Amino acid sequence: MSAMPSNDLEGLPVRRRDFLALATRAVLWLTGGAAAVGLGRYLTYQLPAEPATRFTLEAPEAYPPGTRVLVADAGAAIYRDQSGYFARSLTCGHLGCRVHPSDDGGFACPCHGSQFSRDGARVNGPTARDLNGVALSLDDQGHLVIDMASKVDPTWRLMMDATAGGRSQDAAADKG
Amino acid sequence: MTPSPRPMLLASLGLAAGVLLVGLRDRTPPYAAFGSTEPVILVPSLSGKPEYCLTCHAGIEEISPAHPTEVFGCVSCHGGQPLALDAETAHAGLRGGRNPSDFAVVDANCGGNDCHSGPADEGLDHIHRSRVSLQATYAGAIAQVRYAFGAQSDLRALFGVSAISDPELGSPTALPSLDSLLPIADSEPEQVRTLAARCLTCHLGAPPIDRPGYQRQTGCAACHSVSNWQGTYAGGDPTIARDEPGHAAAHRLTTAIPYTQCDACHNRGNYSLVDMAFHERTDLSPDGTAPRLEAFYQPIAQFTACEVDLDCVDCHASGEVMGDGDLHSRMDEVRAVECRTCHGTPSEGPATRTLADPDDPALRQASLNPSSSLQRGDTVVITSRGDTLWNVRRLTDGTFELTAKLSGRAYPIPQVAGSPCEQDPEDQSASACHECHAVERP
Repeated sequence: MSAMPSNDLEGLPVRRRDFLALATRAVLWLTGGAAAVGLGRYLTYQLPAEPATRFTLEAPEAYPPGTRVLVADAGAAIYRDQSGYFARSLTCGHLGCRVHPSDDGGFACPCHGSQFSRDGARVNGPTARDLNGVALSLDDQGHLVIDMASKVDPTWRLMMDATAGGRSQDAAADKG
Repeated sequence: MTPSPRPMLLASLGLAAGVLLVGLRDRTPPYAAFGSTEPVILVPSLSGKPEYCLTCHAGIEEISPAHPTEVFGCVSCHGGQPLALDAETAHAGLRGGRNPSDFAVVDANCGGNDCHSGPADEGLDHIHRSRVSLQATYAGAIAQVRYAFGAQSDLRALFGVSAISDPELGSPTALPSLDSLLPIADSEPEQVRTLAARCLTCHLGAPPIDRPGYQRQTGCAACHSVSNWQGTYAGGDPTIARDEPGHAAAHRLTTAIPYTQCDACHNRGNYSLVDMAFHERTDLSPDGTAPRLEAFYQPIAQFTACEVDLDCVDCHASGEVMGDGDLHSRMDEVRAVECRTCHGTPSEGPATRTLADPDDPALRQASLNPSSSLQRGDTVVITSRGDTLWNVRRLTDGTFELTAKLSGRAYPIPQVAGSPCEQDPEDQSASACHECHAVERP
């Protein structure tokens, strides 16, 4: 007795033609979705953020007279003397290397040996310049803010209003 | 008519495969082979312009503390296309290939902004000094051979490996110019023509003999970038083959140059005037593992303990090795270090000077060596030509001490004065000192 060949598709709920059409649509949707994701990534590409130039520091009371505090993130040193608060960039003016504190209490450049005093004045080259002065200000919460993009004269000081208990509402700059 | 579904499906699958391929290519870029799946951006502070070089060259050594990567980046010294992410495009326009200090390109790469082409009185004329030095002109050897075979009447140099002039004559023996030996004239004696054909591999502009033991770079890097015996790279850059000769051992410049680097040219054998050929040393092990004492000096040579313990650069400072900024005929015109430079004479100690000026170039040179603690106010030894040996200091008790530039080890320096030494101050030849102080070769 010979058996008749059976049609495997018989009895299935979907015809072959419909299945292929469905698969085509599915592939196209998936492809379109993937392309859309790629396009979206392209259109929403975020440029690398510019390096920050403003840094919020502690409140002024954290810097008693005579202190020198290094702020690594900003690449600066914060000072307070009898006249007020001031800051120096830790970038050597010769080629732009970061200076480090030296054993004598000043700063030394690891690249070519320039040396600076404690407050950033040039001691020896090859740099021809002192460490740059940079501006300080107070934010709304009363914290010191250093702006590395704002250079100031070395004699510049942020002075506090003595009548406000050492806390200034109006930070003043002395050019003298 | 309804289209057949099978071709539509195949077409959509093809489209999907294309999108997938693009996506995969995006995830596995060519530089992924070197470990990065995203471009690595560097914005050196000197240029302020982004560079992607470290995407492939991840792990490469910082060239030196005086040239920090975050300050110099790569392009200021090497050139090339900083925004490219494939090797062929990125390396288009490289100045000097892997060696930006080759003399053909060194002005653009190392001399910018007077970095190494500055004023002589500030000690910043490194390129000029090197280029006119005997190590670069080879004028001494050429003059010797031409004189020996009758092509010139005295030993005053007339030729270098290339034409060069230096109108500023700073010393009595300075030459205003040298003509180029090449192309060699037919009128030259046969031996001089042989010299030109065989022997011009030992100057700073020439590639070295391509064999183990002779490996070095050209230009500044010939001395300041140290090679190993095989000339293979052993650093951290994944793009550089580890078994390919012709590389420095690491992407580094140093002023603490080991004797092995000097040996690559100065201690591998001798040129013979008899057959005008280079005769290689036969007493060295072929793999470069000879003990220091044996590698340092040829069997016929005599030497003292300090000559073996120290490295060449501990005594032969840049004024000798890189020259004094003038063209010269012979090495003895610039040689300045003698035994008495450090050991003094029976009647007096070494000549010294005190570093009073905080901008003294000697202090800057010393600051480049981490083993140095030289400070303003220190007193250091000077040579007969006035060159400063910043690593040889007079201590507060009046004794002298040498700090080895590589090891940082301090060596007390015995003085002739007050010792049984019968030195003739006017005879500073090596043989005179070796007569009593030579170390026996084992």
